[in-house]
Amino acid sequence: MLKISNLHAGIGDKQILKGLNLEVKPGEVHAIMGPNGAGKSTLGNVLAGMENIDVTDGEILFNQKNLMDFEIEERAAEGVFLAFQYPVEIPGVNNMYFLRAALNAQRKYRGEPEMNSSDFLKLVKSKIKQMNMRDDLLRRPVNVGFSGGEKKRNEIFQMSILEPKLAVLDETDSGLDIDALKIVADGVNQLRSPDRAFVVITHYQRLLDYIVPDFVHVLADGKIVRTGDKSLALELEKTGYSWLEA
Amino acid sequence: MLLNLIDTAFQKLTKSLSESDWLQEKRQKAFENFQKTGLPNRKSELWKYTNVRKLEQLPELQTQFHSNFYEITCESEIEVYNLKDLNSKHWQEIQSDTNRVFAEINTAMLNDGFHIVIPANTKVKLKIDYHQTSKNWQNIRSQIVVEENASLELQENYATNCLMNHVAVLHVGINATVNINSKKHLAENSALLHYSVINCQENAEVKQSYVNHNGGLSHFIQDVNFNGEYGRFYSASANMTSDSCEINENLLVNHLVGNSKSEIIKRSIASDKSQVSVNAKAIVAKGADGSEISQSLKNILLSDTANIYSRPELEINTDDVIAAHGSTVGQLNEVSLNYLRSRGIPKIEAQKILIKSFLQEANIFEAEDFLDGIEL
Repeated sequence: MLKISNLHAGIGDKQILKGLNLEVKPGEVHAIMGPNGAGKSTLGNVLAGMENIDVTDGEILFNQKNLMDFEIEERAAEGVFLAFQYPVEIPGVNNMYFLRAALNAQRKYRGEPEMNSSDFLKLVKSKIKQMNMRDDLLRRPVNVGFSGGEKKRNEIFQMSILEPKLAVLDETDSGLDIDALKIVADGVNQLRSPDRAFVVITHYQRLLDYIVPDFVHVLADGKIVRTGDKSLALELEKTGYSWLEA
Repeated sequence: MLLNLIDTAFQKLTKSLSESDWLQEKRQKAFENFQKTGLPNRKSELWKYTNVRKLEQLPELQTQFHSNFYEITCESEIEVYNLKDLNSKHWQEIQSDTNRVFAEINTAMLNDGFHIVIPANTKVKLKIDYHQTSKNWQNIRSQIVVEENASLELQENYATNCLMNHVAVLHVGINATVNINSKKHLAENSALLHYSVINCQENAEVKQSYVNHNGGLSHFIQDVNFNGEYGRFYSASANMTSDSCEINENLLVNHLVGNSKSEIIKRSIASDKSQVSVNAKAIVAKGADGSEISQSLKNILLSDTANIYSRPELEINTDDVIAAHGSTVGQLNEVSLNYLRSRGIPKIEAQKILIKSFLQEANIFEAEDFLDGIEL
């Protein structure tokens, strides 16, 4: 599904990713861990197509298509979803309007008919129940006045509506208490399927207790330096990243 | 050149009119004041950013008195007088200086106008449409008196092609409330010079919502005077310009007595080669303790060639005041834009959503005309 080869990327003169390789198959969950400044969020942003990051070398194939040929919104419609580390507040635009605009824009791109408002309402009502979120969040402006936990849950809720093929979760666990973490993890687990893959960027092993990964990668200085199974996360919890300097 | 034009038009108008002596005297006095003061220029504070050269390009002035420049719709029974038939005691005096000299021209060259009284303890809904019925520059004066405990809901619309010098005076009586919704969707060949004065008595409340969209030259001056305690003034406005259009909006709130409150929200967007200048000033007089002032001016530039000048200003001459003011000028937030796009919304649609969201901060929900007329 996703094949990243020799990816080099940075912001301005600062090179952040320095030859990153990663392959993700449908149905797999890959956890990306690593010290601060290693390039984890940059990887998520490159996949989503954020324009402030310059890709200087390498290739990203997504379902046999060169992802670099696509604009941000086209990548979303192709099936890439980035759950933001810091979800953005959009005053004056309610969640329902925003989500329907997003869903229908993606459907239009794919040549599918637009979803009418009554079908959309049914869809969001069923999904919001699954996410254990309050109905009134739908009528509120996007992320405005949401607590940190609500914002992260809203990201997963959006993901459940848009049903991407590849979901990149950028530190979705940061700032969450245990209960919120479980809710978010439940939401992700409900979306796990044989044709959907996840890249879970996290600092902490505890998220991986709830979203069990197939692979754990250590990203350091812009490259993946070690790959293992979920036991690697437990090991990192004990040893930290000091071994990288050895 | 404009001075000569006004002079010639004034002579022509006064010869042709048959009206009451007091109004003729008003005209003559106003014309003399104008001659003394002269036209505003770049050194005049409220015209600093206005392309005053555009004034030279204004068409000839209307030199006859007409009664078809406005249309008033009201379901209730109210008193509406044409200014021609008015008694001198109803004439509402207004301040004049270099910045407000077009008010003098308005009086001198008055082509039409009305005086409305909203009786005490009544609730009235009023709609006023201002028409452009000739190719000439029209001078119109409107006076509305809202008596004690009365409530007025006012909807104003201006002709898109208006060439108008409008003076509006609103008197809001004790415990009276006024809600104004004013729409100015103007064409590039229009010119609207607008001076309004609002006088608030004790415990009066005025809420206004203005949409100012385009116009070759739109220049607004508004003076709000709190003459009685516990007055409240809320103003939310949106300025939207494209092409070579120009909007200049100047608001002065005079907290002359204590415990009055003014809350100003202005949102402006300029694209192409257009220009917006926004100035919100509050003066708190000595002893006007307990005054509350809030000014929020936010502006977005959609092109490198557009200009926005934004200035919130406080002049406080007493101790016990709560005041906050702020002004920002920037572009559409890139992070927000990317967030919307990352969900599949195309860039142009995402920009439109953010523009609407920006205007909604001022409770303005009418961005479609503006969005249809710009290239993102």
